Amino acid sequence: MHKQRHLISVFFFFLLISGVFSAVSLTPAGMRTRGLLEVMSSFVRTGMLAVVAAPMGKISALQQLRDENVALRSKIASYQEQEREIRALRDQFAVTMIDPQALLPVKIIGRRTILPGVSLPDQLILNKGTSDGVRKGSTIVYKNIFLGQIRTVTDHLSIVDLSYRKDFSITASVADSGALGVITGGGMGELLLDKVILSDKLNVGSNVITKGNIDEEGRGVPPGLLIGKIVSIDKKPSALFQTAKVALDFDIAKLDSVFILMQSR
Amino acid sequence: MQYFFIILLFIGILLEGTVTTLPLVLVILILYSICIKKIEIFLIAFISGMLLDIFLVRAIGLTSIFYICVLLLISLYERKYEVKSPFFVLLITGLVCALYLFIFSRHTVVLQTIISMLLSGGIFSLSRVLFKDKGASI
Repeated sequence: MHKQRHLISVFFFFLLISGVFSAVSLTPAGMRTRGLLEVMSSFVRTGMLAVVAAPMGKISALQQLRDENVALRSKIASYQEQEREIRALRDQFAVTMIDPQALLPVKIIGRRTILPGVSLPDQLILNKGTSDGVRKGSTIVYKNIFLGQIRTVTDHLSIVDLSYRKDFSITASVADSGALGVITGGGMGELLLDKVILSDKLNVGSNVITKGNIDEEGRGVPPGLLIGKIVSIDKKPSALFQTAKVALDFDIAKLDSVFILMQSR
Repeated sequence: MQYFFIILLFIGILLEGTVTTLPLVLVILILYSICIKKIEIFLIAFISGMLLDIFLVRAIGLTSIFYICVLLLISLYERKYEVKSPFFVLLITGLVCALYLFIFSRHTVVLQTIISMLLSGGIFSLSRVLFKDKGASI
């Protein structure tokens, strides 16, 4: 009985301290202290990343060709969208190329995955935060390719949810047919294009691009960024919508730096 | 045995804080609590939680609260049931890891829980082979 009382009192003692720390860390002074601690932890994080990434560091010729292929497909997606929009005689032309001045280069200092080196990362940790003007919801890009959005941001760090993370979703369109849908993350590098009406035409190999969703401050996801390409289609006449599996054959694990889109046009 | 778990815990903090989303620290704390049964585990859990919160950019102290509550639960159970059994280890790891992942991650909860259970079973078996009847009690 005495031992149990002792146990309970120890439990409440540490619970109280933890609670106090949690409350203090949410105050402005606590946030500043957290920022300093996070910067200090960045060195450990970078070191660990180097240790884990070292065996995967060598880029093969095949990988280089794949990267070039992705870059070319990104351009094709851009041309396809422009062609479709010109055909439709739109007055306003949504520019898909990103203004370099709106891009903030950031270094990846952490990649979080289930099994490092085996499964793809679903979160990135970047070395810029609110002190550099980064805001929650900002878009992360690399070579006109949409990678994800910032989920959490502190003074000096940002955490990015990659597009294929399970709880991620964004409006998208198919570059060649203009079909609209919602891209949701399937985890493990897979994406699902859902909510596409049955009358819209989907083709295997078509590029899927962002539809665009920008707020009044110019923040959000611009249109025309490449998300991936359709690898399979699931169309049932009895269903309300058709779906398609989308793959991003671009190795995020090998990236060292990415760009934060500070303001979209 | 205590040093074995402290080294594992240190490695777990580094890995979970930087490269993996698996709840490694939680798994090791559960095993530490079951195998060693020392009250210092609350202090270790508190410090581990704080370090992990710094690495994972969370409000400092949140993870510690979760860890401390889990350890209390295990401590209360060990007075009534035989906790040093593989069945209990797998069961408590599965339940607690699923809850932890649901609260803090919500991403591939089932897969990560299964991997955590396998890992927990493996470390528990290893510790039993390496250290036979060397546990201490509160």
